[in-house]
Amino acid sequence: MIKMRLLLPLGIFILTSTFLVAAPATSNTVNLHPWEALAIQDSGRRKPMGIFGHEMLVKLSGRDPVTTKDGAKIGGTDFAFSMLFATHDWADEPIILLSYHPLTAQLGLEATRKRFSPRELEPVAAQLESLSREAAALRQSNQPIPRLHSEAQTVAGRLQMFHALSDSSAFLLIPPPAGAPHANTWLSLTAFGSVPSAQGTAILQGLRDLGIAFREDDNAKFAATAVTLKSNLRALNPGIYPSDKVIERELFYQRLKPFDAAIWLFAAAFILLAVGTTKGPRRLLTTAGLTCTVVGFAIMVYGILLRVIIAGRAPVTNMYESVVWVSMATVLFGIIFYAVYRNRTILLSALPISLLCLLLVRNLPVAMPSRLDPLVPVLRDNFWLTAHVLTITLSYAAFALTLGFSHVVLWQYIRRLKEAPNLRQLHEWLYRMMFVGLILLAAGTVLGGVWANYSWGRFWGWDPKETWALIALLMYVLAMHGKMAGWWGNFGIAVAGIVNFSGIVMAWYGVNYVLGTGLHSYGFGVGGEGYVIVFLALEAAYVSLAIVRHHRAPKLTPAEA
Amino acid sequence: MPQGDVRSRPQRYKWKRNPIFKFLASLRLAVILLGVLIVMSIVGTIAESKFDADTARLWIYEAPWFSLWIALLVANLACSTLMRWPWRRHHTGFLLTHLGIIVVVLGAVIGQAGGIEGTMTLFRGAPADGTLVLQTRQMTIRDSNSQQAVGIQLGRRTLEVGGKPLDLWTTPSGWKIEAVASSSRLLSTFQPAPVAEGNSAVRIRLRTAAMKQTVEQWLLVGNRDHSRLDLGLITVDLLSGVEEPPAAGAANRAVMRYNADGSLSVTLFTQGVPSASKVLPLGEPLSTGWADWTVEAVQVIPSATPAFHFEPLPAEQTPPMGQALLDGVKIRASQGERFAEQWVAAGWRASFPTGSFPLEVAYGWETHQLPFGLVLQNFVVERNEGTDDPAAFRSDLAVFLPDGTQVATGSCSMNEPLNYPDALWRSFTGLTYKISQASWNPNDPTQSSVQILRDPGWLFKWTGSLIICSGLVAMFIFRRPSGRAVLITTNAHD
Repeated sequence: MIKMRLLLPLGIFILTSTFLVAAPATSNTVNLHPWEALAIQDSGRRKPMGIFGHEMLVKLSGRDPVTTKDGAKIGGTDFAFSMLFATHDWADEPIILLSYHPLTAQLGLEATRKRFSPRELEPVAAQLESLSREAAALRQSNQPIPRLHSEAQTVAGRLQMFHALSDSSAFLLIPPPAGAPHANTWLSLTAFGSVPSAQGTAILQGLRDLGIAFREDDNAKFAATAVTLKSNLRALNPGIYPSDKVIERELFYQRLKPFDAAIWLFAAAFILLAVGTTKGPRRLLTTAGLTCTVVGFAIMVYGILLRVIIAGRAPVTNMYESVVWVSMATVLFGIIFYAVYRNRTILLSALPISLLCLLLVRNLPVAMPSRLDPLVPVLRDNFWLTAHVLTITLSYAAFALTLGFSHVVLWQYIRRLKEAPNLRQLHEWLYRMMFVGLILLAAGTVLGGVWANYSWGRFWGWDPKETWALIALLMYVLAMHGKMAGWWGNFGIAVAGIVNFSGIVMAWYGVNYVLGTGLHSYGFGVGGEGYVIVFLALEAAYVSLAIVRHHRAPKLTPAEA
Repeated sequence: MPQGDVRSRPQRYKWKRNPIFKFLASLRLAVILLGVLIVMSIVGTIAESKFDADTARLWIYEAPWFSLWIALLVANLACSTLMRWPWRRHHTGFLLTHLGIIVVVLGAVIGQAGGIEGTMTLFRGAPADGTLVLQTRQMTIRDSNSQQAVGIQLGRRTLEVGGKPLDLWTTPSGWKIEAVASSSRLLSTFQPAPVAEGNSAVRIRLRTAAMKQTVEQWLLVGNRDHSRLDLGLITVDLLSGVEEPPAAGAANRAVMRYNADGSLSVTLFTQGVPSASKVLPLGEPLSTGWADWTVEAVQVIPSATPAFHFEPLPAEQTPPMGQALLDGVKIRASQGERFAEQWVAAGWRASFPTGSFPLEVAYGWETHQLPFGLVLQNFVVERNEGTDDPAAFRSDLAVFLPDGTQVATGSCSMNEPLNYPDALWRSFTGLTYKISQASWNPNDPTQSSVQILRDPGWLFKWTGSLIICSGLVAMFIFRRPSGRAVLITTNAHD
């Protein structure tokens, strides 16, 4: 059997020479769907090319689509195609994210910019390499890594990734033939020696034809070639090539963008509910707002279900998923409380929180990547873990609703609505929301102990994540006991609804992103500090205002307070 | 959570009027206890972030006053529960949550007193090992002259030496042993020590003036890790006079031999081809023919044993790739004018020449002998497809009794511990040794670390947890007869 090594340089030449006089990928009207439905192996799993392109673009530039120097917006699918077929000189496009200012300064780059072209970074590549080598050495000897070094490592990784895309070694789109050595690793166009020559030639020919069809702007030919190419690739090892159903499901999830859809629906619902009334002609608006809420919630549930099916694991395994989950659960609690108490303000408290969560993950794709990477060993196949995480995050949602509703309650004090007829009622609802959160947080923390005992061999170890869950729990318990002791009243509980949420923020975000120590290291990350600080500052201002207004107010009667 | 206002009810029970009891049962005490607990836990997590987990444990979580605080909390929970006597239906939630916390704390106390927790590093092919390494430290000083030894238990602490030396022991022969400094940045270097019976060691120096690079390193004949100096493009091997040279090596390599007559000879290979064979006199650089590289034998120990030398790495220096920094203490042994000083790293021992026999100082972790031994039969690492990232680990283990009989086999993997002895009631009570997969060594696929835990408090911990959760649910179900939320009715102070 003639092996393919000799044909390789030829293959690469064919691929790139199709575009010797190439136009940018975007000036073309070819529908790239057949291309994005090819399978590729990357980061430990098989995925559609469309997903790969999106993830690569986000990893390199922190956004999808990315804007070129000419002002064109290029999405992930186009980008991947353009990289493999060299239809555009990407080395000159500012697509490498470098957003940490001290590093920009250290490297002597323009301080005002956040993205640089690979060519601009070439002169500082050696510096980046040496910083990231230092970071690696520090990591190996368990020393703390300065932010400058870890950022340099990230940027060096981005450059490396860009080069792997440029020389096509990152495009592992050829499944290893059944029985080949290293049957776990897919092959790139630069190394597929184990592929029988006839099949290899057909695949290279297919790729070449795909390029030609693209250049000729021939949609039908492009689609037909892609279908043949895919069946040739699948024929190499049908057992491991993902089925069309699996590929299309993931692409559908990507196109549906369920959580973006929810943003629009929740925003609409909020406006409709805010202007709607319970009686009179404007009650139709309320009905419409309710519908939007329920539809948005349903889409979120559907999106989360799709993710669970695609990834084959529990819905909450990283920061992105936990924020999405909390967003969904906050609306769920809002809907439940609304169903019981029939008051729009409950939904009006839940919706902004959900919106905030969804906008946050949408705007921080680098700090909270939505990728479906394989899990680290400790998070796998564990009933107790799933139960623990889902319960804990449900409690975050209940406290998030409490947070939103506390704003509504304190607003009554800020406006000094003496005649607020249902203030007492609001306090009662607020207390119940807080209590639901407390039950869930206590149960979740205990389940965490059971998991830790099962997985790590001990029930409680004062790990920072455990400790902060306990601190948050105690903060709410303290608020309730303080009220019983008569140290503060209903107003105090409403203040606690906001203040204590900082404990949740710390347990949820702070431990992983600020403290960065302990056993929950699989959830660590950087970024988003600015948003959190602004959030906490605004909350502090709101609470202070309420306290000042409340204390300077003419005394309310006990029935009202 | 206490329900209702009991203070206003006339007291039928005399013991409830006891001021100490009233103080211990008071809500105000509860609020203060909770508040301080919150603040101290926050301080603990910050301490862990700024320093390390052991510091946080030492200062806060495992400090005596923290235990005292928890004890006070338990007293508060118990007294406030008794204060509600006689209990009614609507007290169910309150009683269960408070009782649950007491049971969990009881479990923690039992676990602390009667439990054991440690790790064990196993190697495939090694005989059964039953020595559990605990997380607590100790220092042992053994004086071979007087056949006496002392052990200093340090708990979770490392031995910290401030400005003044710490007196550790004075041996019967009058040697004073002190700790004079401590460091958490000790770097180990291979430095063979002379012995009566051993292999020969040579200190090699490779130098290039053009690239301004000098590398110096000890090599020891027959040592797996330290018989070769590897610079990537250049390797130097040290062999005895008769040994076969290793097959693999860089294209530019030197094969050095320590001959039976005490002389050194060297064969040079340039681009894989033998280029010269020469005698290498001590202290004379020899041109290799690879650019301007020279090779030199700086020092020779005819008979040496592997040993390591520890020195603190200056704070501004990054450790060499792949080298972990250790913590340790500098020990001084002195008798009158005579003295010797040496760094002893955690997990290592050092000997000091005192009298006719050496004095040995071992610094490290306490150990515990298990009633059984473990053998690692196989260690499997599954990878994520197409990557080197581990997806799962599994240790296949066999359990042996001290008399050598094999009593059990089984596997432990991430999230799937192995219990020995294995029975359902033992899993529920914690009266078993739970063997969990802890860590592994990416550079040695025959090595696996397991964590072993025996926790007789486990029954209390999980039943207590269950009681807390059912108590919280009960608060929803069994409300006060009025059916109103308690907080709304009891007081309105604002």
